[in-house]
Amino acid sequence: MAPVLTVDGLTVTAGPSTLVDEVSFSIEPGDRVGLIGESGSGKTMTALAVIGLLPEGVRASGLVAFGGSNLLGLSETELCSVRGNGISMVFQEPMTALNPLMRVGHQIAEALSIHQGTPKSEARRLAVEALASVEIPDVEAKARAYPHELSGGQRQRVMIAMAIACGPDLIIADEPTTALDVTVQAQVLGLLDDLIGAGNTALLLITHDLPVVAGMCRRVLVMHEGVIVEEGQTAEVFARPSEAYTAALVDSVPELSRTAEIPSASAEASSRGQDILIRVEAVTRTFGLPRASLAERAGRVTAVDDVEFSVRTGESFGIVGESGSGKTTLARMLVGLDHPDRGIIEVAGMAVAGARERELGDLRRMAQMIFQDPMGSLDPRMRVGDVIAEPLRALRIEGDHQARVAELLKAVALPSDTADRYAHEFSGGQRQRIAIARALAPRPRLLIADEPVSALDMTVQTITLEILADLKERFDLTMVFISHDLSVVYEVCDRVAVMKNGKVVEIGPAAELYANPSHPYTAGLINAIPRLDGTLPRAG
Amino acid sequence: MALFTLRRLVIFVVSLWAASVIVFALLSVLPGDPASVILGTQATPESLASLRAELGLDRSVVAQYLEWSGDLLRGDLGTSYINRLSIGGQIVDRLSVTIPLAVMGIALAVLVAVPAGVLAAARHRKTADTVISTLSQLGLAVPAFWAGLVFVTFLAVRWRIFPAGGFPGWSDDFLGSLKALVLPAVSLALVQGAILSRYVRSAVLEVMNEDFIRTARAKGLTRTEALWRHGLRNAAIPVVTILGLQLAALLAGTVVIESVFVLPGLGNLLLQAISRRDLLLVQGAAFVIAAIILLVNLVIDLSYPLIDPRVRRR
Repeated sequence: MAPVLTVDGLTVTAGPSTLVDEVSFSIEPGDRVGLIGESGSGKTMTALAVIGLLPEGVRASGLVAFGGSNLLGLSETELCSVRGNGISMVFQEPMTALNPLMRVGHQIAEALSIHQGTPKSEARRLAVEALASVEIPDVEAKARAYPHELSGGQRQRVMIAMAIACGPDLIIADEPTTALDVTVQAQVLGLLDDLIGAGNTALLLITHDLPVVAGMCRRVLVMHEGVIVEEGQTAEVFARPSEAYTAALVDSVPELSRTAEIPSASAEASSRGQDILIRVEAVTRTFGLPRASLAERAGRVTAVDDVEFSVRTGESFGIVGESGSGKTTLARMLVGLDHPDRGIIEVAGMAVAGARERELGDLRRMAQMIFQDPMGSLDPRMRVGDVIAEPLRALRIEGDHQARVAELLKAVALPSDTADRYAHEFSGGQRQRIAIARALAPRPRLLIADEPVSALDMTVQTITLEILADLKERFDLTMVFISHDLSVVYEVCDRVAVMKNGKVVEIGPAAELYANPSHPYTAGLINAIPRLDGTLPRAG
Repeated sequence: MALFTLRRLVIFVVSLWAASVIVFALLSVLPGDPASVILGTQATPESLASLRAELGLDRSVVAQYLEWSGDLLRGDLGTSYINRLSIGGQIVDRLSVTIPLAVMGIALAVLVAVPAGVLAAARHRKTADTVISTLSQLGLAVPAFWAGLVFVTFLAVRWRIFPAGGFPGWSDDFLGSLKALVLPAVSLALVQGAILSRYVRSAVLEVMNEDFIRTARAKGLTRTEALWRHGLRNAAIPVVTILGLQLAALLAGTVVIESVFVLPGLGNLLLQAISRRDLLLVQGAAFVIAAIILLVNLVIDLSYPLIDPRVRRR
């Protein structure tokens, strides 16, 4: 059978820099190919070059053969008849990828009327059908909904419905589930698998997530710095990578995502000190909702609901949960950035809940926080040295600040000249290390890390987690580690609390909890993790 | 949606009340006694005192405010101290010039600036963009009254296409009245149009970089189709906000432009009233201008939910 897509010697350049360098591959009808690599490897540029949607000032050359013509040589009008019809795309951010001012049914119908000239009422009926095929409940009503009225998972289903509406020969999905919670990711992947499983549609799946490719794709292409460094059968490549870069990617996959078997308890847990550093008792935090209409009373949402736990000195305590589970609200309350409606929070014997800002000085010195976004949490107009020294000045800690900065930079394995440069000169991983150095500056005893590695590439995640673990031992830190990613929490934490809708549903030593989850929600979360051995999870 | 409308209406009423207090307070702290203005420098203290009593100026400020605002609620702005004419009547008379002038000004600005801004964005960094951006820069740099004078010099004095000033009145000469408003409206539109075109351009550019535009193009729409079907309505949201602010600026601009073109509008009335120390008239005119601006902003606020479904739930 002739390939549906043949890419030969595709090169993408932006001015003097080459983003994609002589890339060649082909996709057979009905085939599923994974394109993996880290951010900046050129995988998205490759996809955009194929459908001719490169950003302004970026140029492509080479051959992109589809349907008997070279797409790179087509006019804009000719390309438009291919996009959404022969080749369609699913993008990463379901929040921003849909027009917020247009009903979703209309957005799906639009694809049909452009390509097939389907009359309005017929296109509307087909759009409702497409929504039903992506298993959205109450389709008639949902077709009339606006994107903000749907959940993230539903929005991504709408994107998929739009992509399959015209029966394309090829779907290019660029990180289609990266922004979704793990259980929703499992549902969406399962759906995509079913929808294209039956027909002749081919799939090019672009992702940084190796286990997702393992579950979805027969073949895989590994991209690094604009070049395809390795390709082959997915199982083969992941089991026996022939390139060092592929091996590094495979190595960075968390232990929990490797096999369907939960590794037996490594039994090093909680041999830590026994004195309690953090005590949380019956903590509840609610937020007022805006009133929906004149007839109703304003509602309240309970973000954290009667939560209770304690963390011992020297422990690594994990809090996992999906978006909206209340984990970040809880973290903010632990450092006094927010206060509970009811309940007790004590850190090292200090009452944090309800304490006033000026009473929290000692806490600020003792407990520091690291945030998710290393780009946004560092002041772009401050030199890195000043960023790191700022807590020392703010907390009026005496001493040689410059020497302390040098010492901290060394601890997070950054060169000493880092202090004189600005945050934007560094990569995401380096910036997160700067954030860690800043957090450690006032010699805290407690480090609260809120999704510290979620924005980082896999291999960078591994390095950052290693540095964190090393620093924790070296400086005798207690750590509260918050993440949506169960695999990461498993790697770093002694004990784990699982949160759902503001409640802690289960709490226990990590190894035990992962091997024998006692709550069905925990079991569901663990089952939803895609595995490197290719078992595609099927969450209900 | 009902809640949204109600909230905006409450804000409108409260702002209106605040405007009345501020206008009244500002004028009552200004030096200058209307009674001595009316009677002139020769007045005896006795005649002053009796006139002050007649005008109610001997009472406390609060009592004066309550009386004025009470009349206001009944739609009565009082009678001028100076010419003994109804203030409401004079203002309505002048509004028949100022409102058409402002509407023509903003309509001209929108009609030119919106297409220009969209075109500049669609042809980003191409010749059309450069030309439009340069022109709008120029429009910003030129003060409205100076542009008005230049127009008068060429289009009125030299080529005699439009009148240089004056206003024949709608009932006497409708076409002539319309013609009389053209040059002042163009002068007003120049600056506001220049500002607006820049906002439209950046709003469209920003929207065209959004993910959903990329989705629309991946669906098979051309760049231009994506702009028309998905871009413009999204870009309208920030532009409408600016438009509300611009109407306020434009209304303030009529004060100067009306005196350049000798138009019997509200701005002109306000200037005359100030120079004659007709404080009650100043008070009434200032309040009416404030009320118009608040009303425009109310209309703008109420239009958001029509454009953006996300606002409907707030």
